[in-house]
Formats: sequence, C-alpha cells, structure tokens
Amino acid sequence: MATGRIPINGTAAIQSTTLTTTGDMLYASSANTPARLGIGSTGNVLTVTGGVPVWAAPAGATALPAFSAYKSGTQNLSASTWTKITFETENFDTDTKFASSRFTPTVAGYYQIIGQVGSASSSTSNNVYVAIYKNGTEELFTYMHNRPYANAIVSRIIYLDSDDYVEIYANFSVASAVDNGNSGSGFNGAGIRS
Amino acid sequence: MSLYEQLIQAMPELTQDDFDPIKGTISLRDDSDGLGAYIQKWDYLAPIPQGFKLGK
Repeated sequence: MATGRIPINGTAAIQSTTLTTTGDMLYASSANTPARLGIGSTGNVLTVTGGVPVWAAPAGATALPAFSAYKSGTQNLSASTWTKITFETENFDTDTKFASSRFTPTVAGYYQIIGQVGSASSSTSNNVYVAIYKNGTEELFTYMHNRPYANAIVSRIIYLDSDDYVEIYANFSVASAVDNGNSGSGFNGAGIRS
Repeated sequence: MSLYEQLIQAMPELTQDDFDPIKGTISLRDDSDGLGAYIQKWDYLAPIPQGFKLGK
C-alpha cells in the first residue's frame, strides 16, 4: 500500500492517508484546502451542494406504475363495431392500477401504452383495427387488412394526469372471437417519466 | 342479431364500407358494459332509420 505523500506537480503534496477507502476522491473544500470525498453508495451520482461535490441518489428516480395483462377469456365481437376489449389475466400490476380492463395510473406522467388484439377469424377479407381510448375517446388506431387471423398492435406515449384512464378497443370487419392468450391479445403500459 | 346486422336489414343500401373506421360515415360502439352496442356516429346522407337512435 502506498504511504507518505502524493506528489502534485513535483512540489506540493497531499498526505496519502487522506484517502482511507477504495473509491475515495479528493476535492478542494475551500481554496488551497484538499479534502476527502468518501465513496458514495451504489447508484449514487455526483452532484453539488453548498458549493462542494457530494454523492446523492439520482433525481427523478421515483417509479411510475406499470402493468401487463392479456386476454384469457372468451369475447366475441360483432362485425364493424368498436368494442372494448377485456383482459382477464395480469402478468403484473405494480401498483394495482389496472382494473376492469382499464389502466388508471393516478400519478401524472408520460406513459407508454401498447395494445395488441387478434381476430380468430380465418377469413381472408378480415380487417382488424385496434385503438387506444383515453377517457372514453379514441386517441389512436392502427390496423391490419385482409389477413386471416389478423393481429394489430397500437402504441403511443400518452400524458395521463391523476384521473385519466386508458382502454383498448377493437373493430373486426368480420364477426369473430378475439384471439386470447399471452401472444394473442394484450394490454401493457408503463410510466416513463413524470 | 347484432346492431350492425339490424341496420343493414333496415337500410339494405348500406354496405360495410359505410362502417369502415377510415372512410365510413357510421360508427358503432360497444363498451362491454352489458348495455350492448349503440350508434356512436351517424354522418350518413340519410337519417337514422326508425327504431334506432344515436348514443346509448
């Protein structure tokens, strides 16, 4: 282990015992006054408080709600009717904000919302539309046309305030059951920043 | 019989294109709340046929 003085510019020196622990850093606590900054905790970032460097937890690290659900029950859609899709099984729901096939995060922020709906129809003329509805109003829809067992995915980053909610609707041109299972029809969302 | 089928029966001139989400003038909706489907939008050139209404 090194002992004695740490030379600086070949003239000045700092006592090596100033640095007591692996990861310690030197800084000037005032002009011409070296000081030790002890190693921070895992995940800490270096910031400045009162004019000197300190380790601190990253700002904005508060986790927002996230959920993942999929259709496990039977749902038959009439032709050409925008129908709210029900998702009976949760993969996870971090803050219990997903209920009745509706996500109401209650924490304002920007959320990535993803909906996937498939049709069980083998018709080659089947068109499947899938939409995100925010507070009961269509926000965005995408579609897949003229495909048997068509399956469409819709995704958007949406700002949701404390009482906004989102749901997934679908519209099949040919009446059929909704494709169920984790890879058939799903509804996912996660807060990405406040 | 679904609302879509009932409307086609009441107005045989209607086609699936009239209900198309991109280019259609009629929109049907079902909120899966047990109340059934209803007409959400009706911009078709003829009025809503008798026996039907706009909204829930």
